Amino acid sequence: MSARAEVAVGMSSCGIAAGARTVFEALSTSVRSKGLPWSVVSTGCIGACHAEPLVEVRQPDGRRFLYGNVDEAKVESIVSGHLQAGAPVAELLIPADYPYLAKQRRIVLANCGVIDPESIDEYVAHDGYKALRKVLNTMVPDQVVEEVKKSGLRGRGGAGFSTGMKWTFAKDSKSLTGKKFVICNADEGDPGAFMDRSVLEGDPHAVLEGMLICAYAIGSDEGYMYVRAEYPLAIKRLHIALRQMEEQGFLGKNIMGTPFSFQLHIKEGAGAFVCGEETALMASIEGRRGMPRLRPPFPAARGLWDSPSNINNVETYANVPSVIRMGGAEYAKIGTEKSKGTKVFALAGKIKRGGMIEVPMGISLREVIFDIGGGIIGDKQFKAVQMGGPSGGCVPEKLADVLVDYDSLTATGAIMGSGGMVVMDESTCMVDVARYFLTFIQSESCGKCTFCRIGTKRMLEILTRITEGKGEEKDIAELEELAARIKVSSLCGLGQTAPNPVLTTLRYFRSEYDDHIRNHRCAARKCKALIRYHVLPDACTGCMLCARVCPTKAAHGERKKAHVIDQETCIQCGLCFEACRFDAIEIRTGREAGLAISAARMTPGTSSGGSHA
Amino acid sequence: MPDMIDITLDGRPLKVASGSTILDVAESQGIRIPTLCHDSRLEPYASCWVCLVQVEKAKGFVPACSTRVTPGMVITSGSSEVRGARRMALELILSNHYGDCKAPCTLTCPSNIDIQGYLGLVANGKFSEAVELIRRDNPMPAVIGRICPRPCEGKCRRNLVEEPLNINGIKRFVADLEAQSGGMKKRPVPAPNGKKVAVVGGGPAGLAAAWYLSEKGVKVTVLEAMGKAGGMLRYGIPDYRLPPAVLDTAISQMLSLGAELRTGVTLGRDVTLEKLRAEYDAVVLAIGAWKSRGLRIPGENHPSVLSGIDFLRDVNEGRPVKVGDVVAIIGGGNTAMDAARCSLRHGASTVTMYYRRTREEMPASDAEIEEALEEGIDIQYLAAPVSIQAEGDALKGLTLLKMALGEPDASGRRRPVPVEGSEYTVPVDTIICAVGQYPDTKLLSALPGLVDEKGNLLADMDTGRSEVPGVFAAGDLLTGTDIAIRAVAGGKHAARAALAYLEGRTYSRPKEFLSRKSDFREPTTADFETTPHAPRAHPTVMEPERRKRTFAEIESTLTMAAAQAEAARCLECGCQDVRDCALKMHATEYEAVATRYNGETTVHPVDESHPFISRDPSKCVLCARCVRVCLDVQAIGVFGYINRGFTSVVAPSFGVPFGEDTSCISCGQCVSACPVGALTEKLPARKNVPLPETAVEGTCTRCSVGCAIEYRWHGSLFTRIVERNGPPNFSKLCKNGKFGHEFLNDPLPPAADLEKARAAVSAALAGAKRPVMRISPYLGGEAIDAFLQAAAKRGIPVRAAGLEKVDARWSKFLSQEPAAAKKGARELLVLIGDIGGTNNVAFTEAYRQRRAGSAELWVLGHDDEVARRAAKRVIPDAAQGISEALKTDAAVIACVNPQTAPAGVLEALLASADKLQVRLYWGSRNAGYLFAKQAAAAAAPDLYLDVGVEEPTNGVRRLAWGKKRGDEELFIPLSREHWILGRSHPTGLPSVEHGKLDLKALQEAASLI
Repeated sequence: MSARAEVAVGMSSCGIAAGARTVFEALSTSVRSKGLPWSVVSTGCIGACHAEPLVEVRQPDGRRFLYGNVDEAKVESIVSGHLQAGAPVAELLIPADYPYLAKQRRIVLANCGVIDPESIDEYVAHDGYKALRKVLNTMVPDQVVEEVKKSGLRGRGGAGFSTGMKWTFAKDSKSLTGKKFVICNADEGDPGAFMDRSVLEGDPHAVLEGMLICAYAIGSDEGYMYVRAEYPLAIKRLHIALRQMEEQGFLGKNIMGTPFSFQLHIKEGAGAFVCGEETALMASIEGRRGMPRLRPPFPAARGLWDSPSNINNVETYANVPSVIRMGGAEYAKIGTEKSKGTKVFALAGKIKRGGMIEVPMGISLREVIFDIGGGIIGDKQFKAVQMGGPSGGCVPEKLADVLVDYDSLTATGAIMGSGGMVVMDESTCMVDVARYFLTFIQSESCGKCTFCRIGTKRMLEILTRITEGKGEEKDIAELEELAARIKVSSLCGLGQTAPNPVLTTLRYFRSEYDDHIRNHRCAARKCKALIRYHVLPDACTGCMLCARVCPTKAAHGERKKAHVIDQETCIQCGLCFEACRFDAIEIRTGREAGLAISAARMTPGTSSGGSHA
Repeated sequence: MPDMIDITLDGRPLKVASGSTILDVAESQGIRIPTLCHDSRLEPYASCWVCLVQVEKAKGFVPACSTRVTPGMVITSGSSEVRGARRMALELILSNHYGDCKAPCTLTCPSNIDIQGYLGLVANGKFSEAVELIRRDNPMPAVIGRICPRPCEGKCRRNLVEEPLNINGIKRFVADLEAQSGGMKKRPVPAPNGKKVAVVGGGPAGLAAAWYLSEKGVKVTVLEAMGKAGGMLRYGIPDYRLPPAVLDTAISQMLSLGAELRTGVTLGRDVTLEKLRAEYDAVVLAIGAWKSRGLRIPGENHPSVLSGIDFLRDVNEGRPVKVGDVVAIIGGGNTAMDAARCSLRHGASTVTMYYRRTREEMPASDAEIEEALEEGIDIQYLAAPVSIQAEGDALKGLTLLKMALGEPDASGRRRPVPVEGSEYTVPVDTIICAVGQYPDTKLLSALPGLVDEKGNLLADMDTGRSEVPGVFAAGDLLTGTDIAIRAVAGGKHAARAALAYLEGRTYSRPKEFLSRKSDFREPTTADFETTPHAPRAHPTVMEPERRKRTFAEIESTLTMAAAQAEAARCLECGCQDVRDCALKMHATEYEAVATRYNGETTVHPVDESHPFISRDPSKCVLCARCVRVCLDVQAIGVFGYINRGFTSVVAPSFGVPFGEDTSCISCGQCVSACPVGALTEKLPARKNVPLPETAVEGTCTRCSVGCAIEYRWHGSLFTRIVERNGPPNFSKLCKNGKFGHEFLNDPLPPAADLEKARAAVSAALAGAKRPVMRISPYLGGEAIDAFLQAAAKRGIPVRAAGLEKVDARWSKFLSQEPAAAKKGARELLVLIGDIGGTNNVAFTEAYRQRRAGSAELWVLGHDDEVARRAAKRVIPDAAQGISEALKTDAAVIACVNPQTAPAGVLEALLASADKLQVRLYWGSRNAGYLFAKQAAAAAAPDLYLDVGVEEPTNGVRRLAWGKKRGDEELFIPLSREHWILGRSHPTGLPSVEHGKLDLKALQEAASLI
């Protein structure tokens, strides 16, 4: 649509981290010095993070060419070859049928990597605020809620509650304070998740427009964007967006000349994971420690400052303008029977093409991982994918054909979650993974509920024992018992889902636990206490490299003679293994590593707490 | 009237008020649901999850404390699933609750004497309370205080500092002090309950059983085979350790509740078990262990080879005993030791003990070993006798084999093994063999089922209950030879078991949950690095050279000063909250095991920086009741959560020491909110000590709010104030109410001679021209009225002490009828001046009303952070604030303390007296009443009649009625009760203890005028 000649550089956090700023400057300098009629612009994240920095050449004729992995050197050939000579540099181009992009369906991310997120004009030019105009001018609140209901949109924050229903509750709730609030939850805290960040950095107005539509629908005149302070670029772009909205009459009194007024605050969260829980988030906005409280009352009845409040996450709000523009019925055509629309995922881990993707509901996990993600790095064996962060669970390879929809994923023991997808290969120890996520949960528990605060700690201690080869047969039963009780005896989602990583790994990878406990064997060779490094004398050339990197002088030997590793002093750091150029170092585990396994492990009795007096 | 809805609770269909919580409903149905975090003063919180219940269709468990009932709700509160989950919640909490419920000394003592309790009482100078506390578990303190080998002291944590406390020495001190000051407090003989029990055996176990049975009204007959009661105490322990007079006193005390002693009655000879069973409702067997084990070596039947116990019996009975010059003692126990030392005292020149293991394994107590060595007794270790050689009447030699220690045996001690070819022979004149004793169960075999074919008694070790109904056993018969206090404990439990049997119940020792530090991390010397060292108090002991020739008692009693100082060394290991701890209570009920989820335990130092409150974060269960009560009730917010996850702690802001948090007003709300011992009051005494308390309901005397409180006492020791949940304070207290009653521990003055006093008062009054009576408004209404009457009779003007500077015009508001309330309008409470500082509970109650929405709250004439947090408006100019308040459409109620009201307030209130209601608050409970009774006093009084007043007189003569003598010329003591009890006029609350006040003495004291 832009008739201008543009070179757009992806300038979200991911791009910048990969060197987009340097590329942007190099492009600008080069274009300027050569006096070329191209403008260099910044845009949000197009999603192909594995190929950052990304540069898109948008020709006045409407044709677009995407270059990936651009660096300063490549800038020159793009400028001279493409911009100057008009011939796209074929060897640097990401092909138009690039499978990473081909299988996606971009609704939420439609503008990401397309428009300049710091320009409201570009947003407006891309149908921005059309939906708001439509609801303000042609719809009563009931109709708006009805339309959202019709779309089948469900909360994208994880739980998947019907957005239309939620809005209905907030709309129908009587306010004792005379206020209602609209809150956007942008406290994205799952390890490996960056959907909210990318959307806010790439298309902030879409989210804000969704919030305004919600406010109109439920009768609110004030809202909060709760965004974690660790997202400075998102916060900066939100501030720019708010300023521009005010300037153009999309925010404040009598928006677009209608009776509808709305003001919006940005609240920077201090980085507590639990503040993603809605009641904790509201406590945090109110200036208290972010700790969840019992629901009911739900926020729709009594929320922020005792007023009815509607809380949705970033992606949910970002869907709303599309729902209104397309109409609920049209939107509902995308996806499956019970899960409508698309879902944004952050694809990470041992995957060839990581990044942010948006796929229609109902696509299979295997398609996501292999067709879009290109499979596993180094073509290793795909083992499992962790869905939904620490509150989620892992889906094993054998269930990879499961469809991406709320209910199918829940049936596996994992959850849709907010969209984190961490892919694991054969070199991942599932006990260690469970321990990792539980460590995260334990340290992020707000400390209020007994089961979450102490129960997860005891689970973590058991897992740690198992990874250290100190596990006992009874540990599994104890893990399961604790997990079962923690799930049903915690106030908020954090506690209720805390045991999930353990439960799903136990469900699908029980043998790995048994192997750790019974055989002191970590098949993935990750658990340090269960592995031993050995030099293969036949392969060792005596190059002495291992001896040089070894921090404890455990690896030693004479030049040109096979080296040995002293097991007493070896700390299993793995530096020798990394350093060896001849594959002469082997990692052994279990019996082959000579780890003693006692036949009958005694279960120490618990002494009675009772006493006579 | 709330809507009533139908629900089902544990299968019961119920109609309950909508809006109530499941916990409320369960409570009203008498179903007990445990909780730690719930506090009726606070909004439901739901953190501990101990109150969880099942609700049909709910996703998981729900917390009963904060889940409100809904129509049709089906609740299960007592299923095994629910109980299991609650138990897990408790066990998880306990896994990170580092503290000792009870001190190791008490737990080690076989009779679990409240050692920490009596040490604390001694430290506080409450000696008779101390000895009575001991007597609960040990009715013979003077005896045990002399002979106990003190297992408690071995476990004393003071061992980690320098030396253990001299626990037994303190016991002996209080017992001897009691004996010197008139003996055991006389007790009424309990009313007979119609039951009769025979106790066979008059040793420590039998006597203890007799004592505890007679305490409950049982008619006890003690049958003693020997000529005197006392058992081994009398016939096994030499007089130099236990003088017979001390034992005699103890026995007469233990029989003083009505038990009858019959001596010279032997079981099997004079009376049979069958007969006893027929004649008595139950029988307690405590026949001891009087049979000696033999050496089973050649030559042991020689007349000069004596049995240790027989030898000691002869010595103690005063029979002539003869030992040779060279005496060999075989054995290493206390009997062997006593036999050795008695031999010395009976003329032996060389006494050698032969013991087959080493000193480490030797059962005799260390102190005794030391004393024996000092007296010149030689101890040969690792020596086992193999044969005895004799020539006619004379012994020639004792042949021994050298031993070495091998592998540990079943008892855990290393088994001695002979060293081959190591035989040697020593010359000897007398051999006393003390290698063990056993009970003569042949006496019992007549009753079928009481002993097995091997002669073992068939009885439960915990309770002494035998296999034969109604027959119980105690002491050495039950346990084998053991120390006296274990026999006393056995007697105590056998008595309880017999009592239960008599009532048709079955006794078992109470199972009580006990948290123990040692379950997680045994305290080490490092924990006591900062504890100042204080040496142990040792009694004086007779010089070895002197004592080895006499049977006089060789050890002295500690002096009072030494005993008190020694008791003060106690480290107070047991929890202050042990009697009130909700966690302990629930853990006991749910049979929780503290170590089930053993893992990391967080240990924090105890924070003693606060003047009134001890804070032990290691015991905190993070229920946040302190956090919430401080913020939501007091509007202060001293506490908050710090950190996340397992490392979360509740602490004052920024983790500063509690005492350095300047916002704390020491109201003690956090202490009363804390369900465990993480926050405890420092007792108004020298030594903190958890004690059994008696509660006396009363009204706080510290200001005119008149808060409902309980005075807690242990005997004459005032221990603390506990709030009551009633008007006007509804469980709230302030610093003065909670911690301002230390004066109750002041010593009472001696009684006055009333006749002399009457003459002195008459003389003084006759000589005075302008006498004035000053009455303390702190006194109870009865006392004030009595003296007002006396003053009126004599025409003496009265002044309310301390209120001299209060403008008389305030009295207009004393009787003022409430202003016509504006119909339908909300109430506006205006607090004028620092009501929070002087009448804090009035302030917090106003704040509660504001939070509950029943009134609005302003603070006038005073401005600080708390006022701003609690009040809707704060206006520093009080007069201006009053006029603004009157502009609202609310019914204005002015709450003001005339003693601290800012200038101009009185005038402003007088000007608008018809438009608002005034409530006066005073610094003492009866100030308002007394203020109204004041008369214009003559200028320059020449005589003060001071009632409860301790103010200076500037040289004017003074006669005083009070609780503390000062410099007055005449002092008439008034009972302490007149300060703490009696009527409170401003609240109109009658004294709950009115009937108990000694009004006669009061009238007498007043009538002196």
